[in-house]
Amino acid sequence: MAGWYRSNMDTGKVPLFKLKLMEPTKDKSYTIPISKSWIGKNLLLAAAAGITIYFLINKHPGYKWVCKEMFTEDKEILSYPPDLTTGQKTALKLGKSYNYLSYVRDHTPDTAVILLPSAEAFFPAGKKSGFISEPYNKLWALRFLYPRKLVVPYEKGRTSYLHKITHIALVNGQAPELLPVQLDFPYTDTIIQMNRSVK
Amino acid sequence: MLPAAILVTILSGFAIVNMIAVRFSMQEKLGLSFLVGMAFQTILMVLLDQLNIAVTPVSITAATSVAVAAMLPFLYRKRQHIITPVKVKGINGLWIVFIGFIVYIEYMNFTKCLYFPTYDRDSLAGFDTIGYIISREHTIRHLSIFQGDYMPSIHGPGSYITYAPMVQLSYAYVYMFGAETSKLIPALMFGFFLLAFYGAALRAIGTSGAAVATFFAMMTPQMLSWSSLSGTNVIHAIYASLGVIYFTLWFRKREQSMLSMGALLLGINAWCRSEGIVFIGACLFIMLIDAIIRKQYKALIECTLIAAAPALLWTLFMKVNGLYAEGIISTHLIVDGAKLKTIWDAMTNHYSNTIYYGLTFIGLPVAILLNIKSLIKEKDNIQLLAVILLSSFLYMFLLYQVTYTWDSINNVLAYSAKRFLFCFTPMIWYYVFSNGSVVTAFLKLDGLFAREKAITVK
Repeated sequence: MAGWYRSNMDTGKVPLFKLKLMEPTKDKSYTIPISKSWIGKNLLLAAAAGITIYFLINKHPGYKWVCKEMFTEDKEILSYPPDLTTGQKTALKLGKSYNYLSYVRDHTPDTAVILLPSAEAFFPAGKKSGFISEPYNKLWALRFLYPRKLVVPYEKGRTSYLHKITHIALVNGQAPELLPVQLDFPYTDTIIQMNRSVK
Repeated sequence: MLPAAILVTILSGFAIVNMIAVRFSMQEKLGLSFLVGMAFQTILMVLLDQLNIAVTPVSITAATSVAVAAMLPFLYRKRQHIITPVKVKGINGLWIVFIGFIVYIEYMNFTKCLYFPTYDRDSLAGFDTIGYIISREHTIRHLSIFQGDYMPSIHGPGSYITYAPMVQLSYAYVYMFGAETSKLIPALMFGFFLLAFYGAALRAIGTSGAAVATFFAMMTPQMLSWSSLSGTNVIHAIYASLGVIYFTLWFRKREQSMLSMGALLLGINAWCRSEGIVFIGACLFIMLIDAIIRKQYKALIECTLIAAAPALLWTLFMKVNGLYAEGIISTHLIVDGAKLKTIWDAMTNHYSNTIYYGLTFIGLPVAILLNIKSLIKEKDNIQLLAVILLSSFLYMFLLYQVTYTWDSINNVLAYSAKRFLFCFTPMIWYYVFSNGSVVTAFLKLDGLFAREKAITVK
């Protein structure tokens, strides 16, 4: 073993953590790959590099945004409970939109064909809506409702699935134009099962 | 099962990288392994689907195994060069601080990326959902959401049916192997990109310069922010920028491995997003000039074939399977001064936006000015600069030729164009730090602060 260290020391390839294993003998001299002056100079260089980064992330608005705002959120994540489910984490970001679609998913069979409300129903003009992002977008909603089939109001007359609708999703108490009956019960956000086909 | 699938991807990519460039450094090989491996898996998925074989974990793994087995005899001949020591030489205080900061920031970014499932609008209304459904239906061409009766708008202008397939298929890959979200893909992509970029920078810049260049390439605010989401733009930027970097490195030493790797990555860039064609166009144009001057056309033909292959494969796949949408690019030259001004104003606004891109677009003119003497006299780094400028121009021309019936021009310029510029940021930082004068300065600094005369212990 000693021979191995010796031969590698001459080439300056001795790992630092191995140094303490070497025992200098009386006759032989050993070289250590770093010197005191190297450490001193490089501490100064490291300080200069650190100051440069410090000024960059504190003075430049773009880099400041990365370190002060973007990563503040990241640090918060580390304090979140580690055992949240994927659904709970999605709800943290998508709020009511995800919760509503999860409700629809949990109350419909996989084979359901669902009429999704329009964008205007999710976000009524002049009214505050608790929904965020695009739950009215067919592809967006499918990510959470697949394998159920979805139909959106503007597809009327363009898809045969309109006649296969088994459920109608209702939001903000607005009945879709395509609903074949008048609802005589109070509701806000719900899903109802059809027993008549949509014309 | 998922860790094994990722390992298979990395190993297959590592095999391909070694087939092309066995003499690359380990940093480059490791960095490129996942990037190339993931693209390879997605190409296999398309081929399997075309052969009417269900795209399942079993079929993908079997196809990968066959492909890697076919490479083994070639790799065996190069075996002594495949795994080489990771050389970390000439490190100094500057390198330690910058690399330490990069590792810290990437750790934070990786953690955030993996913590939250996909929630950004573009992914949910596109790539992530398409990938998820592919993983459940085990097909691409017969996908339920590609059927006209179920999706009446599927063949409309700008429809997702014609999106280049790389990102959605890579998401499908991880979903198929049991992932709950697709975020593992962007998280790994960015991490491996940083390693590959650093390796490529080491090649031309030196130790300290490579660390600082990687720091600036990573810290581009909007790009770093988007790297933890599931959008396509950062993934596209990774392939486009590395492709251009390796392509232009070829002009320095004319090593075939550089050109092949550059062409492959450029090809994958168009496999990610169709607009990537602007980088292929710019590179081939520069190469054509070089070929005419040198009267040597073999490399140009090889590069063209490799770079065009993925886009051609996808075009053919769409054609054969009836996957089409109304075109959004005008085939005749549009003459519209107002539109041109709108695009120019929006792009110059982006270029001058330091909140989005940090110092990137300030760094470019400063680097040109600092290097102007060498640029004129020795044509130092001129190919990379030419590709950056020419592809910027081609992209603006592409924006100009688009007929905005599917979205407003203002939306496209404000969001899509903003994110497209991510492709340029690593290229620009590579250019800034690989200029002769900057390289000389950093090499002097490396020499000054490198391990010097060692003390002698008696």
